[in-house]
Amino acid sequence: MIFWKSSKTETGPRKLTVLTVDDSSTILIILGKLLSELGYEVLQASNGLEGVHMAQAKTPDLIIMDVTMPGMNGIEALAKLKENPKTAAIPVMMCSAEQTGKDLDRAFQLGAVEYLIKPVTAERLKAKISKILPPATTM
Amino acid sequence: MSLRVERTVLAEVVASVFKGMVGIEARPGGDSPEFLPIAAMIGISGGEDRMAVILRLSEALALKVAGAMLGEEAMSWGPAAEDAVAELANVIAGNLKPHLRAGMALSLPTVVHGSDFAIHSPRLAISQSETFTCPDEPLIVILARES
Repeated sequence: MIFWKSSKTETGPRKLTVLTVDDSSTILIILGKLLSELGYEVLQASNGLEGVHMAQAKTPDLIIMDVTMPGMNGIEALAKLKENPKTAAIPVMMCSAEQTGKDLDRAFQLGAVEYLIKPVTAERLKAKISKILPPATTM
Repeated sequence: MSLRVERTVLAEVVASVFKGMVGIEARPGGDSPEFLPIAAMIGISGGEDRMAVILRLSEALALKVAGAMLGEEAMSWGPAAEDAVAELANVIAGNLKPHLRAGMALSLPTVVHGSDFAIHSPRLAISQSETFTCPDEPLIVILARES
């Protein structure tokens, strides 16, 4: 588990937390930087199984998850998250280079709320995330 | 089915991905070297069809790609540069996919780096090869399909 930026305090307000799940360290770094710049606290996992475990442990405010990963892929991880009452309500935004296909359809059937198409840019991410989370202020 | 993509479409996809991910221009054309030391391959399959998108590029371009994507200069080839090149290939293949037959899915990327190698597959045949200059380094995008 990696904390990109931790700023939680005992007394201060809690930052909104986004869990990013991708087998590409490059994408984790890019998302980490962009989300951190937007003011979110970022958690990172490098595969679906790790992402499911981290979601259960940390209950983030949003999960951004790659579709194609070795081992447990993003669709399988999404299904696991929605099966578990503890994580079922966490909004999940899928992320993929693929703009169409059955994985996209399946992700929405399983309860994904958004689909972020790679390449991930600041504008694209900000536009998508603003549909799900308020600006990175306090809760 | 053909795995040919209109040259203008291929050029638009490559240019758009380079601009969005790397922040550099990718122009069609330029010299095509006999050998480039890095190859990144993504399989695309669906039904009975098997295809591949292969990028060939220089180490200098790979380091430029990695540096731009990671936000810090990449000094030498290593896992970080390899991952960045893999992601570049993944995104180019993903953005080409809508221009291919529907119902196809991407594989995980494979990246090869070396001073003397060739890629052979008993089943894959090159159907298209386009050279780009980014902005002064060569990039070759190869589309291959199972014959």
